[in-house]
Amino acid sequence: MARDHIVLNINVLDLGISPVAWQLSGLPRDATTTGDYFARIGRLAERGTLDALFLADNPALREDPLRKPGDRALEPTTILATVAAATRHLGLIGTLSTTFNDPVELAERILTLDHLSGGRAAWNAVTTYNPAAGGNFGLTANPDRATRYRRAGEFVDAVLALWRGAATGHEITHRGEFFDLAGRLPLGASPQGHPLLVQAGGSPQGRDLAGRTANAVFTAEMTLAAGLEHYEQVKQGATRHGRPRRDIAILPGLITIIGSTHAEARRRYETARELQDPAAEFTRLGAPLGHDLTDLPLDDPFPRHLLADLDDPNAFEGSLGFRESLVRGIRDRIAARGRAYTLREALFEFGAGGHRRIIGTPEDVADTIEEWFRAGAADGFNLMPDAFPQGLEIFVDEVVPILRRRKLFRYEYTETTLRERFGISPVTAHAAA
Amino acid sequence: MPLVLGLQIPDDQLARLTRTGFGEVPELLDASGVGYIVLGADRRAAGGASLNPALLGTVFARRTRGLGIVAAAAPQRDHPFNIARRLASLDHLTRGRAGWLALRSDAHLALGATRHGSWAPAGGPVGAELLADAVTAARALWRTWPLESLTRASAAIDRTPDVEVRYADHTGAFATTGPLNVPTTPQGEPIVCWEYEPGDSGHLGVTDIAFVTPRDRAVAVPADPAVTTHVRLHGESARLRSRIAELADDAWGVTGVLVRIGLAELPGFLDTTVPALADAGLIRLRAATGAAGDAPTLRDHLGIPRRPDPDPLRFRAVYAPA
Ligand SMILES: Cc1cc2nc3c(=O)[nH]c(=O)nc-3n(C[C@H](O)[C@H](O)[C@@H](O)COP(=O)(O)O)c2cc1C
Repeated sequence: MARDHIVLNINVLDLGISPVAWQLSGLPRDATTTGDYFARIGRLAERGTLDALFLADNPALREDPLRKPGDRALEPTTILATVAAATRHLGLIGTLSTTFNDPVELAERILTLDHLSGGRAAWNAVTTYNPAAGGNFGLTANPDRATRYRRAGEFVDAVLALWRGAATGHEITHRGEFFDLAGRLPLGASPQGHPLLVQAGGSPQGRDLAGRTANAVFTAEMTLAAGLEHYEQVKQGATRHGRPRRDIAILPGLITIIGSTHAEARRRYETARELQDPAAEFTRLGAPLGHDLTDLPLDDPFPRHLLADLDDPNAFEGSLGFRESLVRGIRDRIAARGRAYTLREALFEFGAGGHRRIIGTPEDVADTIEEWFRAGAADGFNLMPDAFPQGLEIFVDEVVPILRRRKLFRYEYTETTLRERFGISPVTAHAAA
Repeated sequence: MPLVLGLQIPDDQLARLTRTGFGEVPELLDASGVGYIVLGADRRAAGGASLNPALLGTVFARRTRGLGIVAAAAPQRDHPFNIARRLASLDHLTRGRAGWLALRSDAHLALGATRHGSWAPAGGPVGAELLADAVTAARALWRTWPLESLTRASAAIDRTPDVEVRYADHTGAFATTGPLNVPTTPQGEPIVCWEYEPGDSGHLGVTDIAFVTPRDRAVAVPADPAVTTHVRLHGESARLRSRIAELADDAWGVTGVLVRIGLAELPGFLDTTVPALADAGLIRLRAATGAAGDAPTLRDHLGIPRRPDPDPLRFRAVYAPA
């Protein structure tokens, strides 16, 4: 246990991670096009003294809005600036691609957010694997993983150099494979020095980038054992790069379906399942495995070849992080249940969206959070309620008080910047040199 | 004819107000009836501190109800897909009060950028021609996802062609397939503004408003009737009123003025000059916004209709056969 407090971010997957989040939410179909929606969610998170609001992102439309309303409809930094104006303490973490942005423009935009929010901003660096993105930027296909991560490494270095340059007033020069830059940004140091850096992506390249540069990592972990292992891997990566362990927080995603009794939670989940298109679970389980599962017999044993080690991991187009977590999770279930473990069971257990899922009472949720935190598998979580606002409301009103009573979570905000709240080393003249 | 009034406050003066939350500047501008504020215009030439215009605009959006908000962005380090996405988002967050000041370059972000920038091919067009391509790409993207797909009750059931999401399929220096992952906005799409430079006339057809200096006014009047002209003036000038009177009178097709004013002079300008100009019938202010938040869109206030082209129904549908 590295910290005395758990880090809790709310991952606002617009109306929620459930495929029928819109129906569960009871909100208008166009709710996620309004600033008022995100301002309300931000204030709700602040009522629960959560650490930060997190936004995932893809620079491409993901699903047919006529079939699935309530997905992302606004650009993430404009959402975060909206939340910044509506809140006082909440951290603001935005996912932005290193493949489909320019480092100078991105550095300036996030640094502006940091100024506008009084030092509450962070950038989640991803390389983007969504195949729909490339065409939007004039490419016929996305660059392969190795190229994307080479660019990401150089991109992150350039952004950090620009931020340090802004904090110290120094001009920077950067010459590399992808970027040639010279000068400095038109802004000075922010109240936290400069924004924090977050990383998501669980391939070896992703974990190395995190260990070298990130202040937090968003991970997908299905089991405690895998969580423990990867936690150590990334922390040791940081140590290898000469960074203190506390400068990087490990934050797995956690899907929550909460009811006041176990049966009520279960009913909430079953209701959603009946409403949703049965294809949704096939896609959510199949996509990270890189396979179309739709025609496979539901009650046959889960096809083992889908879980085999990849001949060439670099050629795998999806996220290796998501795949590895899933493969390991399903293998563990097969080991526990024997060969009879079926596709039907796997769809139920793992077709919810690539992250660990809890269906239960507020106590159940608090127990898992505490268990992972005390065991050293997580410094906190990226929370993913099935649907907003109810899923966040019940977390704030029912789970947060339990964690407070267990002395695992704050009663009120005491630090003004996100850097202080996360306990990350300050930006010093030395670090900035 | 009374003119629309836009204001521009020097970027570095606004940036200095960040820690105090910009004082009451957004609220004062909103209450004054001024048509719009332009953020980031100084980025054409390097200067002092400057906040990212779209994000500053987003903060102003939360604190205003009727004020138009025009944010600068250049397709030099910023791909038109990202610009289109951010400006359309600002347009939703303002409920239809956003504009894009399309700059060919952003001196604050140059840091060694080439003229064709980070995304356009080397050896292709640069300058006004490249910017015009970026605007054309953005406009196509802005029309790919109809808002009616989310607002019309029967949309999901009837799937009429006008609610289908479509590809933009823009080919050019900034090729982009789309669709944009932001729907069309309450005013259709943001208003596009362009800072006129000598030689630009052949490319102005893509824009809604051309900002011109008094000196360039005669030569810069666009041939295209869809493009209107707003003349840049200095708010501190002793001749401000007579200039506005002259422009309001003449037959040059000028429909607005963009007045640059320092923060120190702003309160006096809003309290005294603006009402006097309005009383004299020289400028046209926004009507006060009702409690229901039923403010007119920027497009309504400017009287600029949405262009017929490109017609999205000619684009390929993404999720259903056309
Ligand atoms: C937990 C997690 C969350 C991620 N979130 C995003 C995201 O929001 N947007 C995105 O483009 N990519 C996301 N990615 C994937 C990254 O884009 C990653 O850089 C990509 O190259 C593939 O991931 P990998 O490193 O796991 O192979 C995520 C990956 C993981 C494991």
